[in-house]
Formats: sequence, structure tokens, C-alpha cells
Amino acid sequence: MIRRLFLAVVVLLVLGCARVHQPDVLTGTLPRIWPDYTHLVLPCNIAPLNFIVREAGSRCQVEVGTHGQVSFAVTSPDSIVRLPEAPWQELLAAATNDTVFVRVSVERDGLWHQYSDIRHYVSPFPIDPVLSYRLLYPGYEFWNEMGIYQRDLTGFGETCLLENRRTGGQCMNCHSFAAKSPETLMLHVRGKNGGTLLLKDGKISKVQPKPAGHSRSATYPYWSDDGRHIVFSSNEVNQGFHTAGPQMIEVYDKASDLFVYEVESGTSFTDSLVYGDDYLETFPTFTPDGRQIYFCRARRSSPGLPVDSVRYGLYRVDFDAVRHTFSGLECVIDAPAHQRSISFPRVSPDGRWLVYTQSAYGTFSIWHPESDLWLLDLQTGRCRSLDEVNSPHVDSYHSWSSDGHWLVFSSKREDGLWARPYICFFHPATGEAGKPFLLPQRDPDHYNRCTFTYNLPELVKGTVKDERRLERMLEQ
Amino acid sequence: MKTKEFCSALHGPKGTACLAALLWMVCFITFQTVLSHVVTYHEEHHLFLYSMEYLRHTWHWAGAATVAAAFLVQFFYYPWLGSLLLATWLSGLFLISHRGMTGLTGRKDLFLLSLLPPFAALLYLRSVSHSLSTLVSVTVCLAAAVELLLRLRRRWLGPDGRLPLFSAIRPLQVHPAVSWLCVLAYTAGGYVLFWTDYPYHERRLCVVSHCAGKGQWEQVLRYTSSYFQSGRTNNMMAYYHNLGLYHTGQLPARVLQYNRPLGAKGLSLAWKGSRDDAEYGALLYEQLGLLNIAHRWESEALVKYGETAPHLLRLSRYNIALRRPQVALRFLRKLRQSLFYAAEADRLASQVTDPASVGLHDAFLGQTDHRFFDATDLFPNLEPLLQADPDNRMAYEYLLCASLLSHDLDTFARWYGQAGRFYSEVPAVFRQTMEYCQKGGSHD
Repeated sequence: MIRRLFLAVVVLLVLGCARVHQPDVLTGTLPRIWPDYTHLVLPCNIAPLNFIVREAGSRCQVEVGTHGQVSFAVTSPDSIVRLPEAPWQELLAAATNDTVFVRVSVERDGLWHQYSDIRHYVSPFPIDPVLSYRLLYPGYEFWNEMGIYQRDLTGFGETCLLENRRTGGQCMNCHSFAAKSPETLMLHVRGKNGGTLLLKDGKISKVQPKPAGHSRSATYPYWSDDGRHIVFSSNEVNQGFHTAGPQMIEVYDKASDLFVYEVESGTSFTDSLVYGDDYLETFPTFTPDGRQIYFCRARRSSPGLPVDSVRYGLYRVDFDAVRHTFSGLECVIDAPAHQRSISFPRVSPDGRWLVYTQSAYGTFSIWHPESDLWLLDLQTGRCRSLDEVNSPHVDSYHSWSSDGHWLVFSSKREDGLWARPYICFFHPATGEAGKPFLLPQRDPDHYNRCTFTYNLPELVKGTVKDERRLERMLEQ
Repeated sequence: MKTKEFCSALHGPKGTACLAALLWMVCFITFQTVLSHVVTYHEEHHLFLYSMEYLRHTWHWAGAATVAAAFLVQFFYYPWLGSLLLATWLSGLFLISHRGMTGLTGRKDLFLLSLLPPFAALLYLRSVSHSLSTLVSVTVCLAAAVELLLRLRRRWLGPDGRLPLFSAIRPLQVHPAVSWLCVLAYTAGGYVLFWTDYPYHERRLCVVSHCAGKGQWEQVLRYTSSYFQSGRTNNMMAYYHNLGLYHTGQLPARVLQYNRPLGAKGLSLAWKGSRDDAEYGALLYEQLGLLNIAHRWESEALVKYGETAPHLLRLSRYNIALRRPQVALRFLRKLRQSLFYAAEADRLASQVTDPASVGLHDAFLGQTDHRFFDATDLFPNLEPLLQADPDNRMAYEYLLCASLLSHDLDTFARWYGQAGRFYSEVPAVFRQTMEYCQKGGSHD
């Protein structure tokens, strides 16, 4: 008897859930949902875009499908919509190079109000399946709980690459992958047993890269695509706090230079073109062919000069990987001439585009609310603001996907304090970017509660295997 | 005969219950009086949240004992309840130990050794730096070990069996009065030990910072004055003392009383990257209207101590005042998941778009200043603050006091003329200093 009753309840529940309510009212407007997942270009392998409906109502119903055919529907007893993973992935696979619709209805005063369809274009280009980032409190000088994580973009799984709870609470930063490969990576660990951890060809080593006689240690890295070299800036980083204004902190360099570290031989070398007391060189990046290094450079300010007078331009220098020589230093964008400053240059995998962050002054754009992403066409030399992705708040650190069709970047657009990873489509032929969307989460309310900031989002082609090796290496 | 019965009474169930009750009373009184700061300190440094996310996160990062400790500590919101819980906990520790001692040996606890764990725990709890989660772990492990051993004993040796170790030892024949003597000895020894290393300074700091946070300035002055009267000097005490003097209108009159050894540095806490100082510095900047700097200190404290109620509340208020409602709401959403702060969080959440409602003064409202705040010394920051906010009485008083204590009579003379804006009668020390300046007095 009890078994039958239970079965009947289950059947009723299933039928209840599966039932699609017909609309009583057609509003003719788009529903207000958060995050803003409306009219996007989606990778064909992205996890379900769960969201919160911000329309008044007691419950809501969402139908998802393509070509007018509903593939699946969910009814939520509240405003939180969680789409099932398997049907979502099946739908994206079926609708590649086509559009899918998301139809939201809300029950209000006993009537079902149906909103206009949200339409997403499903790009045939998949995004790299893993996003790696560091999670930490948005503190200034102190840190506490900190970790580097790998998030599966095709689902919601998150695994830990390295957490400081098992390593004595050390600071860890600047995780960087060669050509988006999980097989070749590096990251810095500061403090006791610290150093730069290198994973290459299945081996992990701890190194202290710096040229002979150089006092400062390696800071911001970038791998050459062949994994043979890492170009570093070595920065003497300082921070100051503003008494007033929306920007509380300024992180600035008192000194910074560039050098290249050869992984195989463990040697570092540099050149007076990128090393010296007159200029500050920082945020280096290799071109995909490894023959050039783009970086930011500013004239070193004299003591007493206000910090907002330091501005960085975009420079490039030729690099000979065989002879270990630098030549042909050239200014690419003279941003200081326009009272602007450049940071985080990143060249697209096809070598044609360069995205950088532009702010009013200084080097650490992550704390500058006016920071925006800009795009430079390396063929024509023309640059423009990526208005289609920028916001009034910080839009900064960015990473290309391995095929150059996707960009992920840090944005503080939600509240001005916490950085969140946003993804957008990029058209390599035209240089147009799509509307950015927030990294989807299983619980869409996650970002409203999460008081950790997402730092240095990097797209990777897979997960780092046997990540406990990094911990063991640190213990040695 | 009666004397012997009285002496033996300690070992019966009633005697044990009486001892537990006595211990409970002693502990309760201790936590209500000389260790009252321990209760409030832990309450201010733990926050249990009713969410799976919190449980998962805390369990992952700090372990189950920390979750259990935080759950218990949330009730310290009412200090009497905190004292009651701690007293019950320590009495429970006695009962667990007693059960283990008598159950495993099959004999009376003649020397009342089971009193030692709660006494040790009480001594351990004297310092706020000692973690409650350690005590949770010890209690749980002790209870589990006693229970397991008792079960094993019953299973292997029967209900009245003794562990081989204790069977081999001949029972001691001692006068029952020995147990009473032990109680007295433990109490006397515990009393001596308790006061030998009693952390007076820690208590003073906890009480002073707690009272300052609640605006009980007379209390603050009582504790800080007694500290200075003992001939000692400390930057933290001077900082709170001067805040207390300002809020009771005595700063000009008493600024030279205890501040000479530290000079102007005693007016504030310099940022030295010390994790221990991080949670104290924000108060002065908040009251001076330097909300960006207060926010910085409080953010550092949040990183150091985690998401606890005082930091979440302060950061929420700062962000409301700084017109960043979304940031404030995120902190308040955390706080809403707690048992005792949910109502306060709801109240603040309803005010996020009304910066005036939180009662904080933003001296640089609507202004942008790219100058850096001098985090090592308050004095150089006061002039720009007064230029931006000329009606800031606290900044003015601190500036004149800082210039007095720094022997910077040029700055003093430059700003003295503004005194009429703030005082109907200029404080004597300021007036006399100005007269001295006008007579061409030296900076020394």
C-alpha cells in the first residue's frame, strides 16, 4: 500500500513538473533575468546558463528549444532557474550554428505571463573546456584563504589546483600556461619554501628565475607557445591608498624590468633594451611565433611626482630565441601622449589581434574603475575600445581561447569590488566581439553570496592531472 | 562516623553532582567576571552561518571542530548565555573524565583527578588566542575514547570487569578526607596558576576595544588611565585613550598627560603590516570621516579574521556611506544567514540606498584625491583633511594636539586661528601655546 502511494506521489510530481503551462498573457517584452543571459553567442559546449528571474511572480517556467520546438522545460517554485545539464548539452549540439530560444513565463496573480523569447546563437567553435583562476578575498596587503582552481566550463565541476591551507598559508599567484596546455604551467609561491613551480613534460621543479646579479625575483610571466621560454617582468611592487574617490588603492612599481628564462637550461638573460633604471617595463607577452615580445613601458617617475603622472605605452621588441638576443625596440601605442596607460597586452593565437587594458594612468588597472579593454589590429595598427564588452566598472585581465574565438576577462561590473569572469565571442576575421556573459554557475545566486574575487582567469585546454604533485613539490 | 560519611560523600552520585554543580558555578562566575572578555572576544571572532556553503567552506578550510566551535560561540551573543555554555562545557568535561576514571578503573576517583581536565581547560581559556576548536576536539576525543573503552571493557571483561592494568594494582587505602584535601589543593593550585599568568593586558585591550566599539568612552578611559597610571606606555592604549578623551571633551585638557613618551604617534595606529593590529585601526578613521582608509583597515581585518559580525557590519556601513550599495548588500547577505545578526542585516539592507542613514561622515564626499594617505603617521594627513572638510572638529582637535605633541608650532600657529569655529572658549592649553608662540617660544 505504502509503495503504491509513494509511486503515485512520484508519478504526480513528475507529471506536475513536466506539464507546460500555457500563457494567459503575452507581455511582448524580454524578461528581466540575472545574470544578463539574453541574446548571446554561446560556445557549443558551455554549461547551462542558470539564472534568476527578476520579474514579480510566485513561480516561473522556462522552455528551451530550437526552431520553435521545445526541447525541455523546467518549472521552478521560486525565481531561480536551474537548467538540466544533459538536455542542455544535447540541445547545443543539435543547434550548433543555429539559434536556441529560452522562453520565460512567470505566474503572477494566478495568470501565466509569457515573455518574449531570449535567443542565443550557438557558435560552432567550442571554448577551451577549463577555466583556471585564483580565488581570494579582495584584500590589499594581507591574504588568508587562497587557492588556484580549475573549472570545467562544459559543466559545473571545480577542482583545486593548489590551496594554501596545506602549504602553510602561503601566497600563490601568477599561474600561467604555455599555449593553453595543462601539461606546461608555472606559478609563484611566496614565503617559506616558496619559489616558482614549473610543470613541464610531466616533471615538476621549483626554480628561482632571475638574471645573474639581479635582485628582484620574477613577477608577471608569459610562456612562449613552444614552452621553451618564459618572459618575466621583475617588479618592485608598492601600494598606496587614496583618501578620497572611488579608487581606494593604487598599486605601482618603483622599478621593473624584463628578462627571459630558458626552461631547459634554467638560465635567465636580458638586455639593456628592456632592462635599466630609466624605464619601467612590465606585463610582457610573447607573440604566438615567439619572435617578438610585447610589453608595457613607462618613463620612471622622479621621486615626488604624483603617481597619476606615470603612464605606460605599448612596446615591442624582437627576440631571437636561439641567440638569446633582443633587438628593434619599437613603440606600438604611445598611450601617454593621449593621457592614457596600457597594461596586460595579449596577442591572439593567430597573431593578428592584440587586446590590452587601458586606464587613465598607472600599471595595475584591476583597481582602476575606468579600465576598459581595447583591441589593436596588428595588421593595420588601428585600435579601438571594445565597447561591446566594456562596462562603467573595471574590465581588465583577459585571456584568449586556444583558437582565438573566445575571450575571458575579469570584470567588476556587478558591484565595483569583486572581479568575476566574463566570456565573450570574438570574430577573428572582423575583430568584432559578442556580448559578454558571466561564467555560469550551478546556483545562479552564487555570485551574490560569494565574497571571494576571481583573479587571473585563464582558459586552458584541459585539467592539470595529479595536481597534488604541486603540493608535494612545495613541501620539499 | 559522621565525619567519615561526610568525607566519603564526594564519591557517591550526589557528591559527584555537587562537585559538578560547584564547578559549574565557579566557571560561570569566572566567565561573567574576570574572563568576561573571553566570551565577547570569541563572539566577535566567530560567526556561524546557516548555509550549506558556509558549512562546506569552513569544514574544508578549518575542519569540523571549527564548525562546532562556531556553532556554540554564536550563542555568546548574550554574554550570560556564553558563560552558561562554557561553564556547562567544563562541568561536562569533569563528568566525562569522572566517568572514564571510575568506569575504567572500577574504583573511586580518590584523588579526584577528574577535576584536572576542566581546571586545565579553564586555564587554557584564559587567553583569547587559544582556539575553542582545540577544546572542542579534545572534549569530543575524550568523550569518544571513554565511551569506546567502556564498551570494549564491558564486551571483553563483563559489566564488573576491570582492565588488567588496574586489576594488578592493589587498591589504595586512604582516608576519605584526602579527597577533600585534593579539592582544596586543586582549587588553591588552580587559583595560583590562574593568576600567575593571567593575561591582564589582553583583557584590558579586549575590554577597551569592545567598549570603544560601543561608544562607552568613560569605561575606555577608566581602563586606559589605570594602565598609564601604572607607569607603562603602549601605542594601542594611547590610541584608545585619546579617542576616549576626545569623545568626553577632555582631549585638549589632558593631551599632555600621558602622551609625551609617544608624541603624536599615540593619537593613531600606524599601519605596520601587523596582522594583530588590523582590526583596531578603522575606528579612528571612521570617526574622522576618512572612510576609504577605514575601509582599508577593515578589509584587512576581514581577510585576517574572516567573515565575522563586527567586520561585516562595519564594511556594510562603510560601503553604504561610500555609495556602494551592491558591495554592502553582499556583506549583508552573509550576515543574514546568522542567527542573531539577521535582523540588523535586514535593517541595514533596507537603508543601502540612503548613505545618511548609517550615521557616518564622509569627509571627502564627492571628491577625488590622488594623493596617498600616509599610513605610517596620521599627522601629515590632517591638514589635507581639514582643507577638504573645514568643519571637521575631530580633525581640528587632533591636528592641534598632534602639532603640540610633535612640537610643530608652525602648523599649530597656522591653524590656531580657526579655533573660534569649534570652541566658544578656546581650551587653555591651546591658548597658552599660542601665547607662547607669539612670544617667540622655541619648538622645544
